[in-house]
Amino acid sequence: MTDSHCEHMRELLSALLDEEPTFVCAGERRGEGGMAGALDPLSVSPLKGGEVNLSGDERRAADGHLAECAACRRWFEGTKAACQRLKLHPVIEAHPGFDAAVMARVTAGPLTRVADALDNWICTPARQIAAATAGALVLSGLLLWGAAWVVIATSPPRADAAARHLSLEGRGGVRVHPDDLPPILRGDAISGPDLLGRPLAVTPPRPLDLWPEFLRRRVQPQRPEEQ
Amino acid sequence: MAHPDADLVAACRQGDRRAFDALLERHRGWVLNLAYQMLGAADEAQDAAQEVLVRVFTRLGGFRGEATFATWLRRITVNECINRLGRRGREGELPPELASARSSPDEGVAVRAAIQSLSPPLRAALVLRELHGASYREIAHILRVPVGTVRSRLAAAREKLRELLSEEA
Repeated sequence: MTDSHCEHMRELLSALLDEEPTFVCAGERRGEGGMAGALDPLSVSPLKGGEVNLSGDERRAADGHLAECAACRRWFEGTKAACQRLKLHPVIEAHPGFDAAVMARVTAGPLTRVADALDNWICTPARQIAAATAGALVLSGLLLWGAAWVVIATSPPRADAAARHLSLEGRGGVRVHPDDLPPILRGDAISGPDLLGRPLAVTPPRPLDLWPEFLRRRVQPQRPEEQ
Repeated sequence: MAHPDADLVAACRQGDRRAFDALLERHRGWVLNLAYQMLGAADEAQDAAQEVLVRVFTRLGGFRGEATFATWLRRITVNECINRLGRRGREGELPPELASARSSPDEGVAVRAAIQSLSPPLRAALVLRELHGASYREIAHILRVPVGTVRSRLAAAREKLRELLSEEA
């Protein structure tokens, strides 16, 4: 019998241990009449619960292996004895205030229970890290939002806002002040032939103090007396 | 005649204090000992059992009756214990008083130490089967694993237990 075969069979033998106390064989309790290998699997029937953890084939294989393999018989008996020793595990009683403490916590308000649950949840280091990270993210988000709000509320109007303002001209959005209209110059596309025949009554533009000198000269029209 | 759990649960949901007491009286002992067998420390087991019972009684509305009340309670208890074992850090770490107890002349202490040497999944399967008589199907439901996994976990747990207890002997 190979070790690997025995290893494989031990899972079945372990399951056989769980079926053992719940079966009878030929009118007597199983286990009193010797080794399991001596039993015909078809002659056993469930006594209580009807729990069967091995299929018919598995059961036959386990019984057959147990009958043939002395090492696995020793394993089976040793494991059964070890499991029986588990019953020696000490038993404890609830402390005197146990029921009262449970009752007090059950009847406590939902906030107390939430606090308890949170306290209980946050005990693991991984959860503490997760909670701290989430808190830091929320805090930094709030700080960023606050800072952005302050910057927007206190900054001067931006140049693109002026451009957007101008783009609305003529669409009913903004009324254009007459001083802002550009002067019509000779050679302008809108100047008609009748206009070209006589001197233009041009209103000199407002001085553009903020413009550079070379731009101002280019924009300002020549006066008739200079011609 | 004792009322079935389902009747007591229904009465408890209606706010019947006697039903609450009856359920607590009926299940307190084994919940406490299941926690003790899983955790290996009596004080921590008292805390865990209290936590489980508070959770169960405050969430009775969440009990849908898909399994029995006892199975539901077992599942919550085992989950609470596995969470607590996770909080201890390294899996399978023994409580201090059990660290050198495997060769104790007191057989109860040696058995306790042997159980605590198992990993939590193996321990849960073994304790539920051997000390609480749970069926494979019920263990599978409690641990949310297939029945085949229960069978292999039980085999592994028994193998380890046999080795530990025979070493100690």
